[in-house]
Amino acid sequence: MAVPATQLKQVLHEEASPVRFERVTKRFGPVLAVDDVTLEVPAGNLVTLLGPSGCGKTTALRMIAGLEWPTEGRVYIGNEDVTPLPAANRSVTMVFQAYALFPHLTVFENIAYGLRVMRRPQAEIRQRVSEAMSLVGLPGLEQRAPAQLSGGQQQRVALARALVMQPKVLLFDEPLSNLDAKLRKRVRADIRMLQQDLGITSIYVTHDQSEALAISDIVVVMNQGHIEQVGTPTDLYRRPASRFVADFIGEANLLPAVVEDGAVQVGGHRFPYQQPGVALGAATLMVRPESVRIAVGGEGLPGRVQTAFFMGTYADYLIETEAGEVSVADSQSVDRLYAVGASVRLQFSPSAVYLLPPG
Amino acid sequence: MMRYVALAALMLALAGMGVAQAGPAAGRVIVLCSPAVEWCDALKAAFPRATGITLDFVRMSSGEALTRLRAERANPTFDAWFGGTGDPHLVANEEGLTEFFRPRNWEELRPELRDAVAGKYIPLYAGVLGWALNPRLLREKNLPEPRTWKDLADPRYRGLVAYPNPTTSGTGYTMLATMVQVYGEREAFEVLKRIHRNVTEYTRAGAAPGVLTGRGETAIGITFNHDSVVQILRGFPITYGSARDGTGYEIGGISLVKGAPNRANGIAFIEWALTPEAQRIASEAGESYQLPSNSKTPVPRVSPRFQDFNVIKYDFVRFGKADVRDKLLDRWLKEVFPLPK
Amino acid sequence: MASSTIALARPAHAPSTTLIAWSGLALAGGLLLPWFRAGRELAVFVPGATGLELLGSERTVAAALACALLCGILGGLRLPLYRRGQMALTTAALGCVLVVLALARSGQPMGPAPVVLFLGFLSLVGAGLSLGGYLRADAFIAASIVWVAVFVVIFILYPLWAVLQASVFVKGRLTLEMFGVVFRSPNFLMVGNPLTPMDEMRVASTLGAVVAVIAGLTAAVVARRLRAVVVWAVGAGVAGVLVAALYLGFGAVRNSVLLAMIVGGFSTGLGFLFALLAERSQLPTRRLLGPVSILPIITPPFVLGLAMVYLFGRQGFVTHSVLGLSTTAFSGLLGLSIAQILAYTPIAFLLLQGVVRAMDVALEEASETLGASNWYTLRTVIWPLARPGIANAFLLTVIESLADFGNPVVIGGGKPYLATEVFYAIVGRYNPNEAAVFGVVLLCMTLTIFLIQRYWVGERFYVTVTGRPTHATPRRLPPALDYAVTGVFLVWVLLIVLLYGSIFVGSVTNLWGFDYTFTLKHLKGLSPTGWHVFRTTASLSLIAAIPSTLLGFLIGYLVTRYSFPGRRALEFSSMLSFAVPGTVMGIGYILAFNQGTLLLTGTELIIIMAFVFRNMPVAIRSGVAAIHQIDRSLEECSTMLRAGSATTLRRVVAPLVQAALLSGLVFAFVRAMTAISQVIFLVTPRVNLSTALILAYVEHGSMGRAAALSSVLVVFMAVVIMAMYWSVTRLDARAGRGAQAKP
Repeated sequence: MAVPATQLKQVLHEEASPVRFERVTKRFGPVLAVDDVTLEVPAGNLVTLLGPSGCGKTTALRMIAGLEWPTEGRVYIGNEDVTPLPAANRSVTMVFQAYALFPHLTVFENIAYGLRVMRRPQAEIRQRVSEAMSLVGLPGLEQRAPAQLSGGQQQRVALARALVMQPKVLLFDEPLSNLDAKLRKRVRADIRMLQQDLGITSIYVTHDQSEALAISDIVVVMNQGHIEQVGTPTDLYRRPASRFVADFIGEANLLPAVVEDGAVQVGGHRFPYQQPGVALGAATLMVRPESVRIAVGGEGLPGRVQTAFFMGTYADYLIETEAGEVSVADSQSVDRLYAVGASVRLQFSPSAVYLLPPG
Repeated sequence: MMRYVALAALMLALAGMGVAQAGPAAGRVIVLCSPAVEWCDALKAAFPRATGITLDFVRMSSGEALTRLRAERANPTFDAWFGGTGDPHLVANEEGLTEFFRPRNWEELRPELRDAVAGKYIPLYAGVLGWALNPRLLREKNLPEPRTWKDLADPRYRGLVAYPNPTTSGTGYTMLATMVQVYGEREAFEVLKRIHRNVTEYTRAGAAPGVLTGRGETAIGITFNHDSVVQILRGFPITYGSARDGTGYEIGGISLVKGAPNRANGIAFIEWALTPEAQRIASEAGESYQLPSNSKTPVPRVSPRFQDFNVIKYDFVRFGKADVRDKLLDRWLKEVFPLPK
Repeated sequence: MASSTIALARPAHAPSTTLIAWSGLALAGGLLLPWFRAGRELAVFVPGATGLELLGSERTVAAALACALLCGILGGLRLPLYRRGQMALTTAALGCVLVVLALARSGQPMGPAPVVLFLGFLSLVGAGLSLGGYLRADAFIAASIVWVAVFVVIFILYPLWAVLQASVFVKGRLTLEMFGVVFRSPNFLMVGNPLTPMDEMRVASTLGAVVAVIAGLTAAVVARRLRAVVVWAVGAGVAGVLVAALYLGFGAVRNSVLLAMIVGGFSTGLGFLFALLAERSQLPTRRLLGPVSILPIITPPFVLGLAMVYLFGRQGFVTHSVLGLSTTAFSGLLGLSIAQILAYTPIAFLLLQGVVRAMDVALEEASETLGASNWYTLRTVIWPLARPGIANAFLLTVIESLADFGNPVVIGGGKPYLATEVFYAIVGRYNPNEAAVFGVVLLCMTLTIFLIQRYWVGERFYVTVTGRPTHATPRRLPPALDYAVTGVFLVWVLLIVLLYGSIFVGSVTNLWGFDYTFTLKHLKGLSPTGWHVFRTTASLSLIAAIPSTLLGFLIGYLVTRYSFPGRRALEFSSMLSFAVPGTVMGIGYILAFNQGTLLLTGTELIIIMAFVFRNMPVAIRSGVAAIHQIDRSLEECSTMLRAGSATTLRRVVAPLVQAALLSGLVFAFVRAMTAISQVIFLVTPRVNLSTALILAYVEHGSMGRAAALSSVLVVFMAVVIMAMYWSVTRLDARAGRGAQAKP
């Protein structure tokens, strides 16, 4: 019964279009949900909108979908200005947070829904539905009710239902939030593989930074309606543009520092470091917990162990220092933890720190 | 979906075309009918048989009917107004809603009724005011039957009297006006105030006290005697009587509506309704036992006869006037109704 | 296949089928159908009054038809769609105005042509709003909004306006005279009765002062704060004066308010106790609560009053035959209170059952682990949690009691009540202006309570009721309380059994109170009139139930899912008829639809309309509740899959709410079958309804026949309701696979 999905693949690949936001603003009454956002999503990429809840990422997604309309600005899909078009006329489809499978329809009917609405001939519907089903790997479940499927299967039905419409852009609204942690990892890998395989433009909304880092070509970090930073996952992790990004992506120690010529001083500790484009004077030093080395003596920022926990692959410390509390994830001392109250020295490797404007 | 709705509606509209061409039926009369529905129904069946004219009626109490006639003054729907107490017929005539004409069989009507309403409307029937009595309840309480209006004020009848609220019932107003004519206004109100202590309920409708008496809720219910007859024929164990010091009566009317759309048919209907053949219908099929206005109509066996009671010379013209009526009702409402019991 | 990419956006210059179809329909209706009726009858028309025939003589008609034609032409023009939408909007709006003008100028009862034309224009206005970009919704939704708004204006707001107008316009003059006359009348309210030896105001003030002192002292002992003392003393004092003055007073306001307070208090109290019983009792009797709580829904409102007469009248079975009394004490406030409490306690019970169920048992357990006694827990945990719900139940039963018409008519003992005075002023005193004044007063009272309920209590209350029931094992009542409440409940059940029993027995006995021999004559006597009326009632109720449910659900859908200008106003006005007493709406309908072009009285249509708009708020409520259950993303998903909103409604929403739709339909049907207060103004012998007929039987003394028809009605509706529950359970079971869709 499985039909080779090559045709669908080809169409999807050809259709993939860029998406562009031009100075888009969205207000809900007095609330500014999206604030003058300009953004370009290249065709064929998977771009994630990442941010805490209420940052405007879902609103931005829904404006692409046509479920919300910008107060100001334009939205383009391909070269077409779709701002005035209703959702039904946009050649965009979406995988919803809780999948939004129609509970009263079977899997087949769910996937066929959009085609039936468009009154495609019965044979074509059957053909295209089975293409989509084999694409997402759902063999022989046509007659099941959504409630009889596992979470992962439901997710695939939702995906197939979106793909069968041959959209120019595919939208994901936190599609993994209803899955448990283990399944989430697998499904996100599936989504990523399928997306790369199809080369379809995808926009993905999540508040989970690890998901964003794992899956995206480009991550757009949003906060309070505006874009904080656009970049590849590595960029964001290594070189955050703001304290917000540093803090939001992964865990970060943000310490007050003074930039001197060719060196940085934190607390009483001074170490050689250079970062182009940073002015001398006060700054914030970002260092990830796993990049802090901990030692009993020698060079480094002096501190005292406040808490120490065994975490399996590493030891988790909170060290009280002159520059403030520093969180450390140290894998060296897993077998023999430093005692609470012990005096230690912290060292920062220059390759793992980054300077931000003073906060 | 929109298109389907539009299409379906279009088809409906086309289907409607079929009925669209039907005009108003020729040979039709539209009647406001105020007596019991049974009577109205019987008329609807009988009139076409007699004349070939179709009859349509709307049943309304006389008060509603008057309101309706007022509302439709500019463009009346009805041709004739059949039955109901005389007062609203009088008012309608005063206000120019109805017009008086001398029907062909005018001379056959009972002269005393003709004179009493002084050519304001045409008498259709008459009925004596009285009271329904529940002898069983009276016997239980060891009480005599009342003989006069003043007897009703006897404290022994406490909680055993019901009469219709004169502000909502023509019967109630007839009682009020009767007492004023028998005793004079001042004394009448004194008596009414004393009766008030005995009253268990002021009913809305004129026939209701008879019903309450029949059900044994009360021992004495003031109502028209022909309404008591209806209750007796239903099987309720009651009797009826009237005040021996003078009792009033009503003259039910029939009127031609001014500006009636089918005037000729309206007149034909009224003249037919005054014939003995038509008036017999009341008791034979209409559960109504008033005295028919045509002297040639056989009086039903069970109908209360005027000669059996001390009927006063009721001044319909004076007590039918709006200002007299309003004054009396207002006085009753302010001086009698709110009295403590 | 590779080229089968779907053409999505239609070209902007393509003809608009929506515009063309609707203007074609409007035009066809306006041209071919007759414009005017010859009279009251719905299907008798003025000859020569089709649009074609009027084109030459009536300019407004011709202009309106031209507008329709223009809209169709616009649909095919090669202009951008939004421009055509804007132009269609203007043209169609002009067309609406022209239709209204043409009707107003002729003053004749309107025929089908203007209806079709006007509705066509409304749809075009909706399409114009949508295409022109004024409303972010498709043409179907926009047209629905416009239709619904216009219907609500014509059938809810306009009649109310007519009532207001009649209360201040007497014989064409703007005056407050009628208010003066009514307010001075003892029928309305008399606080200090000059005819009594007592000085009521002084007694009331004295009583108030005594109450104030007692309350103040109590507050001083309990709270020991000056502010509490002042608040309590003043509050209790004012309340005391008011209650005492009312109690000693006279008139409709006094009777209605006193009755409403008694009934509200008792119904709410009993309702709460029964709710505790239903949720917390260990005794098997609690299972009876379900069926008993349905009874008032299937019972015409005054049937309990009728039964009260049978049982407790002077010849009543209990008072006379059993106890040997001869009393009419039960006719009047006492009997009336009992009848209303019996009728409205189940309403309070159903509301409060939700409250009790939603109460988090953990809180009580927490209180108990902290060493609180049962009583202390009740006072400090349960009571504050239940308070908004209790206030809500109280206010709603007060509204019901104030608005009740049937019971005061049957066992009011001839005393004036606000709801009945509206009716008597019309049918007894022939004074529509006076009726309007009574109506306005009653309306103000119920509206005030409704607003308090909605904006002060309602919001907080709503959350607890729709909240999911907690699945923790419910706590049991303390046994002593359990037995005591169960005792009260059993007395209640006994009373109910006796009352309904007496109706059934009354329908097969010769003459209640005198002759208890078995007979079928009352049941046989129902033919032909009784049966005929029963069939009319059933068919009109069924015809009305369908649009009222669909319209209610549609409004519920529109107001929950769309935002548009006037959304709140629409929601409020459509809920308004919930707060408007039936008699007030009834006189409104009489005043609004008794003449001119909107002449509808005396026809089936006006009764259907009355039913539709009377029962719509209930449907809106259940619609809103049902739609809240649906994840909104289902509809959004459907939209993204290219479905228009009509398709989404039909293919996604409707299947998911079908159980709610069915029960909404049945309730609308049952409510229509048992309605009395509004339709009593609208019935005619040709179009009569069972409830009005029962009332007429009671008035004419045919008690047996009244009992017979009541029994038939109650049994019929019990069957209908049971069938409904059965099929809803089946529907739910079928939808069960969907209910667990969310992991």
